[in-house]
Amino acid sequence: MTTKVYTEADQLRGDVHVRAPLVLGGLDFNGVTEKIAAVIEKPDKRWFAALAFSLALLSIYGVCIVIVVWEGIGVWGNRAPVYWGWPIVNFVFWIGIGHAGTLISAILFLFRQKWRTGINRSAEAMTLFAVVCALSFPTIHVGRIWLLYWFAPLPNQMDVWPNFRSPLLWDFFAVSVYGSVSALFWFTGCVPDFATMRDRADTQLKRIAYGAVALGWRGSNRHWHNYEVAYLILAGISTPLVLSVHSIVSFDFATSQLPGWHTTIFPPYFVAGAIFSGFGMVMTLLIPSRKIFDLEEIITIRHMENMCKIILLTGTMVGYAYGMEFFIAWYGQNPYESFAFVNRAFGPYAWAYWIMISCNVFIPQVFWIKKFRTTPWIMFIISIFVNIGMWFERFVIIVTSLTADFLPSSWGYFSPTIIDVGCFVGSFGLFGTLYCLFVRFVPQVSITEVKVVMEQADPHWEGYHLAEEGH
Amino acid sequence: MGHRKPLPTAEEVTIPQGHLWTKLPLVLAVTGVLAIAAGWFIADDDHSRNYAWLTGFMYAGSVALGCLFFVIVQHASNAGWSVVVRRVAECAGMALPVLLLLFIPLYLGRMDIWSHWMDAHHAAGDPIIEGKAAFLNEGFWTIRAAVYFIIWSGLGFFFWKTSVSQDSIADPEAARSVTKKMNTMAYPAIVLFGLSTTFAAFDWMMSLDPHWFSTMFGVWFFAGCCVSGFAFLGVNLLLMKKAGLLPQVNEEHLHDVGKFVYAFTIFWAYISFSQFFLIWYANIPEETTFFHLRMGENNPWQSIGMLLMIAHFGIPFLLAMPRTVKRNPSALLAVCTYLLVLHFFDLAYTILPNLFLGKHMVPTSTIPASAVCFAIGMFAIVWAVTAFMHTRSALIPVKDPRLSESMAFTNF
Repeated sequence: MTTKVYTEADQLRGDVHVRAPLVLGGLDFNGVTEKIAAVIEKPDKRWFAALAFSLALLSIYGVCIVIVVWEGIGVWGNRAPVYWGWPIVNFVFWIGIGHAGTLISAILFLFRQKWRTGINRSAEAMTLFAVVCALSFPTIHVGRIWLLYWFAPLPNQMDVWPNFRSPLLWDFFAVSVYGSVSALFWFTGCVPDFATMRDRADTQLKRIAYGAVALGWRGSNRHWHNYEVAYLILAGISTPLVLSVHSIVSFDFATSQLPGWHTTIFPPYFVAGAIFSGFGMVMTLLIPSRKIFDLEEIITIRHMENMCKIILLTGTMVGYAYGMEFFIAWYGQNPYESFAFVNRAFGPYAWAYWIMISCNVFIPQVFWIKKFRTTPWIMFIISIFVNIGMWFERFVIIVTSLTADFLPSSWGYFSPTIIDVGCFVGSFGLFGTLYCLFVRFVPQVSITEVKVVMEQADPHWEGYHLAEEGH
Repeated sequence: MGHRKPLPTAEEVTIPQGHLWTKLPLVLAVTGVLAIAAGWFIADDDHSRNYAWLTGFMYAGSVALGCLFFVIVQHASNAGWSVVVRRVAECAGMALPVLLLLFIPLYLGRMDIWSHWMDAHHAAGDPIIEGKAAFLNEGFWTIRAAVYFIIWSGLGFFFWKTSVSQDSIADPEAARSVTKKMNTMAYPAIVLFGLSTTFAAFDWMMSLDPHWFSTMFGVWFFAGCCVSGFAFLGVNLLLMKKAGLLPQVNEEHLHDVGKFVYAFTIFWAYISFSQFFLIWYANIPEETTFFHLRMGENNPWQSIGMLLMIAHFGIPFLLAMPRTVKRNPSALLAVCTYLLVLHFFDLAYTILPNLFLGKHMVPTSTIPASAVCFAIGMFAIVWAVTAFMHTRSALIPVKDPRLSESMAFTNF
């Protein structure tokens, strides 16, 4: 049996008559398993450095949270009329990032995009961690964190209920459902890989730990059948959730009457922005990751190029939404609405607005050129711009509209405090720590699913015929 | 890899002389002209006739635009599965130049239809309308309409012509470069398509009530184009199969077309609901005017709004969910036809109530009746062109390098 050795050149030739190979370097099934398992079994020194750095940032977050809870949320820069400052910006930023994973796993699965298999596991893990980071902000933003359970509609003798007409309550349900389903979907996909790790375990502890999470997987025909059905159903359930979560986050703003917040395009515009930022973060993580962990033959340049195309598409969709908002603000001839937009682009926060426009709309346009879609270091820089741009998008929406509200006497310039900065930077520590732990203990590429898209998975693969003929 | 099915030749997938389908264009064209004539005479006066015509025009136009978008998106995504169904949609794109003829009565009646802003007499003294005169003025409006038709006809013609020219290329390498060319063109086509349909929706429908605005409006029209265009593709494929044509299109392809129709039905509901919900929730007078015109007791449009919610979303959402429905030709034909009918109500709900904007007109049953006739008539014309184009070339792009992939593909 011969395994053809594919190279990046085979992927980038742009053939229309053959599908580009998704696994390079002549890896066979065993090679794929070895390569992915090696990340866990032979930890890299750089991993410890990344974990230490993340933990350092996380400790900043911890200190900031203690200060916020102890002193109250007045330690942030939130002042009248800007009651929603950085914490909500950060919340929306992280929730947006938490969209690519489930998009890749669910929607690309339904679209039969085979390249998803190289990146879905780590993107989904990233989704879960981004949701954790996102939820941490409203949690501390309530001020009296010990009363957080008031969010839940718990029966009580005072007959006091949360306001079911408030989008903030819908958020509570939408994000928690999204988090639960995404976790379930991710875990379902992991089960066969946990079994692989269990079977390869060299210590009793590992065998028991992986064995527990492998749920007794033995790879029987019936197991595979149930797994495939469960995966398809979960993909079907997750798909509307990808759209609903960020639509509901957009309702937080769009149901209001505030100029700059209330516009009907918000739901799809936020979803497009979320996918855009999510892919930006996936690229930021995977470009160094595939290099450090020697996974360039599995998370190939082709995968990267496809992600660049999605970034270009969604970035342009976001640009369309910016354009529509601006056009209709003028077309509507509502002086408050047009003021809000002129103020964004040319007022005191013009710098933030143009950072947003440049990073989200202009810079991703370089991905029209193939060279930029296939050069990792360029992609990495652009992915950082995407992350920056999407944070600024939320900053522009929230802060510029609130600082110049209906009462000009209270207008002012919003300044964050050091605690604001600490919370934001620290949340990257939470994200990084969780991601480092994931990389260390869970196969970061789906061993099972990558094998399914290899040519050896086709029962009619020519290699088998050659073997029968005695080559 | 794998066992390949023999690829069809162009002759095998060309509609034979004297086949039932070759008579279809004439039958449809006659039907179309008769229905349009009926609509013309049913209408009580020029004003309601113009609005009814606009409804019919947007209906037929959205069907053809939806098919054009289908073709563009297949090329942009390098789709393999859709090769055997793509030509049928490409032919519908060729109906777009013909739409220009159907636009002539609208152009002639422009001063009546869009009188609120186009007629200086009406607009004078209204600061809001005067404020947007830089965009809403007759000259610029005409130029934009010309640009839309150039874009749509150009794209429709390009994707059809290029694809048909590939059929006669014997050299596989040369055939691949043709596919590559269409692939490259598809990306700018998405941008052009998105902007032109958005602004066409603004110009021809949103500006009927020049005070009202919604950033979502362009997306709403796009969603409607996709639902109706994909459903139209489904109807054509299923009827062709019933007529013994296109044996290469099997239940796997139908399943995928069905999924597209289903997904965009949900997308349409998502967009329409979001637009309604945000306007209702914020309750800002500038925006609620749209629904004031369409809601309330004793308002006949109220029931159409409810119908859209239940019949354009609820029923197809539940009905078309099982895969057996999308894989069963008769069931899928029923779903596609049903959605094509419902799409009319969606457009009528948006366009026709504007007849009563600022006027004390008594609603009569002749207005919807003539709109229905125009919609049927212009739809028949679009279909006649599509069916005529089907007879002009092979029904499958036989030299497409992904044809074998398309014929062998299976759903999971």
